[in-house]
Amino acid sequence: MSLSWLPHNLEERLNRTFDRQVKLAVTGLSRSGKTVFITSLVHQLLQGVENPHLPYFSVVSSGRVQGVKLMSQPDLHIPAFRYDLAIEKLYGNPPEWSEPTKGISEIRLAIRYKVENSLLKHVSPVNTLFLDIIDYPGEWLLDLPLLELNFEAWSQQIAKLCDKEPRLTLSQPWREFIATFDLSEPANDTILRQASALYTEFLYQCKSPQYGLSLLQPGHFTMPGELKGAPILEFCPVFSLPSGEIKENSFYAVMKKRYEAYKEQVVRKFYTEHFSSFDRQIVLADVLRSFNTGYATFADMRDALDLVLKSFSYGKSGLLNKLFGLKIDKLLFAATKADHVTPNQLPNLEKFIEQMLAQAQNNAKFEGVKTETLALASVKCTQAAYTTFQGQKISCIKGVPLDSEQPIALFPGEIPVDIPIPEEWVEGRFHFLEFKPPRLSHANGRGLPHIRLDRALEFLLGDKF
Amino acid sequence: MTTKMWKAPVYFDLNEVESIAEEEAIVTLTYTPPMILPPELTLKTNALLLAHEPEPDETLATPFTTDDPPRNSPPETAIWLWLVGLLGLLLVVMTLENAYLLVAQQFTHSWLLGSVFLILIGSIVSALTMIIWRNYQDIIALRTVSQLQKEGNLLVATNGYGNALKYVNKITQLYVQRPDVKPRLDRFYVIVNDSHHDGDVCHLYSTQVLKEIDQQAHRLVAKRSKETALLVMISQIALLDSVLTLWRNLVLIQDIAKLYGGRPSFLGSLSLFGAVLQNLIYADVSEMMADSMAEILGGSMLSMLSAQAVQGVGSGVMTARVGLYAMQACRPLPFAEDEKPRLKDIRREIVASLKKTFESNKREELRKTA
Repeated sequence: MSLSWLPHNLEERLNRTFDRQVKLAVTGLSRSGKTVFITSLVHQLLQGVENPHLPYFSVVSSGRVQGVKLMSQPDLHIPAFRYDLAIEKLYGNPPEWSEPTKGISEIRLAIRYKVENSLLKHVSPVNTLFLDIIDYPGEWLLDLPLLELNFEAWSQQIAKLCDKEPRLTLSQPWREFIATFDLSEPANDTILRQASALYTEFLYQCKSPQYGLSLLQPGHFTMPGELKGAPILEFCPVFSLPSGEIKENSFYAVMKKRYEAYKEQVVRKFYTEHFSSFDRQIVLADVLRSFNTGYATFADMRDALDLVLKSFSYGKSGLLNKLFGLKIDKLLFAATKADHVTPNQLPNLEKFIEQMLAQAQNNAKFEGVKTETLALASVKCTQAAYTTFQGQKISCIKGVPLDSEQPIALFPGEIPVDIPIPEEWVEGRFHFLEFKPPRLSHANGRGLPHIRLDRALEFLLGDKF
Repeated sequence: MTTKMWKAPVYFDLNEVESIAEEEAIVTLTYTPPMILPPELTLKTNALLLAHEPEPDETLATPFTTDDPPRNSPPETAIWLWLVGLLGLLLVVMTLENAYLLVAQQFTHSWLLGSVFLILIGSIVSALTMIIWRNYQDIIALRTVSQLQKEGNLLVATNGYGNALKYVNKITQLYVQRPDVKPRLDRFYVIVNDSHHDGDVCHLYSTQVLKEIDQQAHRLVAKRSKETALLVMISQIALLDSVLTLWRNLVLIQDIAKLYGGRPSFLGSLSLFGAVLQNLIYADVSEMMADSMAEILGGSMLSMLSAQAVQGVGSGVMTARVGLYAMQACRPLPFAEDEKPRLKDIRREIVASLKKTFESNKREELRKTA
């Protein structure tokens, strides 16, 4: 059916009515594997018709897909997702992981499939589904609660967070610096810039693999996107309110103004421009990393993810919907890098994240958003194996660690089914290594090896065909 | 799982580690070329998988080996069995004695006549032994199928890791010689990898390999039950009806068993028939109710046309039911709840086909009268 005579906007609307366009948003805290996920997903689908690696994605396994093609994206103001670069790196020699997400990006796929619905079959036997995949940093979703907080309340919240280790020591330089000047003095750009630079530095330190903290507000400070260096990002929370009258041009007033502007022009803009148009959402998280660093990281990640999921649990009746109109009706929460645990531990990993996010999931479900948790590996870079160790059969994984050239075999530790109490997060209980991508022969033919990516696809898109 | 013991990370010597599935070619462990050359990508044959297959877990393996049917039957039946067995033995001994006497007597007349009789009797005896042996083997095969089914049920229920491939390989033995199943088998062994759990492997085998056989069997059952329905409708003799239905059902069971990889002989299909009958007798009452309600309602419409048609539908549905139970009895991997073949569609087909014949008959009659 050609609809070219219709005005562009109307055609797009028609496409949506017949389920012919779906916007799949991919997000996750940094280093959770968003880019690799999208690369693998696109690669799997491009292998579509005869791909034997998607047995649980019913439209492919039943042979109904006729073909999949990369298309030019519909939103020209969003940077393109560089699939070509990512796949080239993955198939390079030696293979490398692709560059991480820095901001928002988009890629469009056209999936041609045979219609199964007995009624629609006669209207149009072959249909096309346009799949727009949008990649954006999960940190940006951490900003949603800011919309409800004024500058003072937010500052108090940050101050409370900084009372506990490891934030207490890490925030030392920044806190000392803002104590040196009086907030009721007239603002000075250099000092403001320095204060915000120190605060940003503190956030980056929290984020470093050593601490692995995730609850870092404002989200655009560590993931500035195109806003890098803009004055709107030059403010920081304060610890004490200035006494007496606050002058128009004082430090305090300027920071407050910028905070409000950040809320309006950055946070709200993201939600109205992008978030409100998404149909499906997948949230990725590298849960295993928190196992390595200990309870503080885990608790922080859980709080951050709860905040992220709050964006969805505001749902159809809540604040977010009143503000922007939420369309997302399916939300998948996935623990990535499932190939870093032995295969028999996969159910445990899934149970673990389910427990970890039970509350947030419940809220989202209450609002009528379908949710599911899953453990997946976008690109499987280890191999399951077993060996006899001290007279006992034990399963392990083989792979090449990121910082070495030699393959190793490793039993990384057992995933607990219940969330351990803080005392149980003992040193050396887990040892989840990062692995190099597998050396693959050529980009065409077989899809990338993966774990349970097909199930994720089935949940997210299965009902659209 | 035995890994429960290990709470801390452990490193191993690579040489002591054995692989589990066929992924070796895809997930490379070293950057030296020999491991990663594309020609190795095609190494995904059954033999390779068999070589890499994991050993079964002890805890899972034991129930099957000790699972012998109970031998102590109640004493009354034992006495009856003894009686029947002794009578049979008497018969056999008498026949042998008579045969011996006959041959001996013929030898006294002439050695030529004697040897002719001897050869004749010898061949009869050998043919008999062969038939009995074959039937015995069939019954054994049938027992393995039911054992496989038990094993499959347990695997799916526990959904552990590392045992399913061995199990599935056993089923594959039934189909390796079949050219129509081979491509699907090959595809299955490409799809399955070392991250799949036992439940996944069974489900994949079911959807990738057995689904097509299921469909064939389903079509066969539908066809045969329609034929039975027609036959009974046309036939005027009640006794002939029942004999016909019984015979057709037996043939249907045999055909389904063949489809699923068995080659039942007469005795084998008889014991299959027994299993199917048992299923029929102990069928889920609610299921029966639902089916018969539909029959009664659907039949009432037909009964306006003819009582014989209703009988036809009845025996057609009976055949269908026998066929569907035979499918369940012969499928080495048990059906998952949502895969089970349903009677509903077949019943509808039977009624539709009978109606069609009726309508065409009536039209012809009308044409004739006109």
